[in-house]
Amino acid sequence: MAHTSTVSALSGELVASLTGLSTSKDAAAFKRVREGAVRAFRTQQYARTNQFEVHKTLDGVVEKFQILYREDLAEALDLRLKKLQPLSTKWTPEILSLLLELSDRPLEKTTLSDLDRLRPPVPPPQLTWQDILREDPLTEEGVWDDIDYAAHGSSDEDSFYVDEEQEAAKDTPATSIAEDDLVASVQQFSIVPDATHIEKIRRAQKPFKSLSSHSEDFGGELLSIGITELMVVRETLFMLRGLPTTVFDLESETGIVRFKESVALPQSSSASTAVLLKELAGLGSRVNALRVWSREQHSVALLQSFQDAICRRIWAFDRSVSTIERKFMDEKGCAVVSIIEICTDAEILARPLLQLQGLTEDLSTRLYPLQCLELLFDRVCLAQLTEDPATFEELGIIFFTCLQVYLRPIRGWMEDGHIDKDDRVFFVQENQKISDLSSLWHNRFSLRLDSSGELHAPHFLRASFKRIFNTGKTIVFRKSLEIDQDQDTTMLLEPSLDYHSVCKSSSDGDLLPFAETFATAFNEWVDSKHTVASVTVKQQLFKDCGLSRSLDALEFLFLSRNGALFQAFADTLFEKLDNRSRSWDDRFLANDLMEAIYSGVSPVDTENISIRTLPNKARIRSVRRLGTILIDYPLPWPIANIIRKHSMPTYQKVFALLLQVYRAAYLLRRLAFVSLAANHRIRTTHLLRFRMSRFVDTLQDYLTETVIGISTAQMRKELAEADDVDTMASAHQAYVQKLEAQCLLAKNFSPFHKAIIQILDLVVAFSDTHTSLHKSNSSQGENSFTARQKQRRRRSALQAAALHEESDSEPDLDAEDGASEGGDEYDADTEHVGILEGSFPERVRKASKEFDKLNHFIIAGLRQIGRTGSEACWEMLAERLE
Amino acid sequence: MATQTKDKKQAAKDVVDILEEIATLLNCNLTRHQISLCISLIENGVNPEALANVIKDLRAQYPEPELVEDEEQG
Repeated sequence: MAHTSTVSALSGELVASLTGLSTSKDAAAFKRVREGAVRAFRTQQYARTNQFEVHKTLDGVVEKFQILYREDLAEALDLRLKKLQPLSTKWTPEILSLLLELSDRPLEKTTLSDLDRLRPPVPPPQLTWQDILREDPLTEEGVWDDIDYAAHGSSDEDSFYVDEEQEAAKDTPATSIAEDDLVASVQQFSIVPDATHIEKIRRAQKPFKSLSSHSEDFGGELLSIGITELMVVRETLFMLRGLPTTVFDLESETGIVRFKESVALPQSSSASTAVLLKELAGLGSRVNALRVWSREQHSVALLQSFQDAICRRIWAFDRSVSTIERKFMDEKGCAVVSIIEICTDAEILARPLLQLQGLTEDLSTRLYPLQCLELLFDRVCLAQLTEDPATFEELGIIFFTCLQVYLRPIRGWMEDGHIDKDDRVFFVQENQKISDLSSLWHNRFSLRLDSSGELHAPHFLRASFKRIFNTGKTIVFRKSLEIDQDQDTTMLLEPSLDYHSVCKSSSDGDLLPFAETFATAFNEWVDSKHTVASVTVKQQLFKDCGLSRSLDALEFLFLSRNGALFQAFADTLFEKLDNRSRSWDDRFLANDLMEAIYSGVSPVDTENISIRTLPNKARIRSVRRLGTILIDYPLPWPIANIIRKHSMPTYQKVFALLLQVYRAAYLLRRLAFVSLAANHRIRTTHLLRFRMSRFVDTLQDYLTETVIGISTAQMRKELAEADDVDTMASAHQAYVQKLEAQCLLAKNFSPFHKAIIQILDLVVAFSDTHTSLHKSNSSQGENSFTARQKQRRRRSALQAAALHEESDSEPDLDAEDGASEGGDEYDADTEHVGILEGSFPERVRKASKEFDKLNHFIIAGLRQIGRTGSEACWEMLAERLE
Repeated sequence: MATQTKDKKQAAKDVVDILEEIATLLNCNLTRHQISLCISLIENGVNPEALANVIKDLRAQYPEPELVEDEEQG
């Protein structure tokens, strides 16, 4: 039983070891496997192990290792087998047999290093006292004696160092030195202070202790206190450096200093002492107030630089006070101890600090970073006016230091066109939403204004802001044009803007006000940045971007620069109109026509031309219909920054007006060849025709030569002379406005424009009347009924026609004859302006009368404008029309 | 007596050491503990061939613990 349970227990352990199962982990499987194993041990019948067979097999294995070049394994195995022999028991063959059964390709898998891993490394032998004593027994003399720690004193400092050297020497292995004094004396490393020195200091501090302890008890004088003037001087100098003292009470938060009233000097009265000390305390308070301000935290760089400058001044002041103190400490010198002298010196030294303290008080009321610069500037000017050179220099240096910090974003803007997005101090801001390149110059960047609408910049820089702004924009423009930066190497060296170069450079610098010298220096600084960049941009605009080309193209297309081409376009259009073509204003045909006419003109890029027509309810024969034709000619974005979008309507209007004038001229030209019947009043007709021609020709000449020609030449000249994009844009804007005004297209000239249009419509009507008359005369042999019908219809149309010049629709006319623009039959004869009715001579007379009226109106109006206005062209036009 | 026991123990330890080395040389993949258990089983009359077959069967059914054995040996 015990045997079974032993086997069972051992089997369980073996199973757990081999499989990882246990009673706690998968107990059922463990139990099953264990019982299976035990059953296998019991039930299966095997032959007894033959020990000779085992040994034979083992010898065979060793031989096999040897044959197959694994002598190491063979030797190791043989050695172990020999070791085992004396220790073998009756079960050894069985165990060896088991090992042979479980052996798994030892030739391939076994290495000798596996044996090494079986044994843990032997730890090194531990050092014991016996080993130490064996080597070095402590049998020398004096080893066990007590150590005298007081043997070496601190007064023998030289000997201390000597001892150290000796110790260092003893650390090395001794060769022939005696082995005394091996153990170092701790005394050598300790320094005992001399008690007499401490006693001296305690005695000196006694009066102060009594002062601080008795000050609350005694309100009046404290006699026999023993405070000398030197002590008071020392305390004062400490106080001025912001240190706590006994004679003065210091409030650490505000820095306010109060003197102790119980202090009395033996050689002066208490009242005078009190006055002096009060003055010094006041001075100390103000200096300390500045110290407290200099410790405040600020996030704006400008204020931080100002704080830094103040800190430097305070340090300089402290150093000066220390210099004063040094002369009292110098044992060899004989300094005169005078508190009054200290007071005077301190006041002189502290004067710039007091100015700064006043400044910080003004600043603290509302912390506006630029105010710091403005206040500094004002104080510097004031210091110059009040002839305080020391303060002027001090404040000047601080001002320029802070100015350099303020100029950093300006420099970055003017050199790179870069603005920091988080910067709220610089007066230029970027409008991120504007991404259209054609408004890059005008709209992308804007000036920052403060709440009162003023520019967010110090007042002394406002004069130059425009140039700064434009320089930065020029840089951005240049970058967008991708101009090679290397070309621009002639940037002037930036003149230094500091106190010495601005205020001390010129010999008469002291006489000029600081504001003037600063303004001059700053303008020079701005000029050094604003140099080549704008010139490069201008050259690029003219050469690569084709500014001249674009201007030429606009002149050709809109302003009739080549009258022949313009006339060719216009005549073709008018022919279609007169031939009653429904599609006379079709934009595709007009486009093709324009492309064909301007294809040989080099500045014009015909692919970019696009024509569109606006819906217009004006009568088809009225010249107003010609205003519905619009030309779109897109310009490259750099040019669009100069020739802006809002100037294109003016070009369109001038084009329309020219087309209208050309129309009238065209009709009158054709009229010359129309033969007139004998029974009409030739003289009146000819006169009217002559007058109309003269008017139209004068107007045409005025528009093309006087207005367009001269203004365009002027504009080109200004563009060539312009400094930057801003000037160019302004020049072009002025040109467009001038065009609009001189062509009488501006809003305040609308009555004149209307009158001109009326005259032109009158010309059209007169021409139509002539043409219809000519037709009726030539077709008298034809169907008279048709002619009479036509005449009847004409008369009724004339009767129904209104005298409204402004109306764009003629509903009556449309209703009467039914031959409207949308009607089936288009009859150009019935489409006229409608003021002419009655017989031909009557019509001519009425037309003449109307023409006179309008002409006089125009002339009188032009003369009036010419008298009041600045342009002489109207007066000229009036005279020519008369 | 104590010396004899001690000597016996030392002799048994030596035998196990040598057998462990032989098992390593023959690549039997047996830990020291397993060798001890096998010795105990054989001394309790278990046939070595039967024991070897059981061990092989267990290794075939539960191969993972074998890898742990290798790591321990290594």
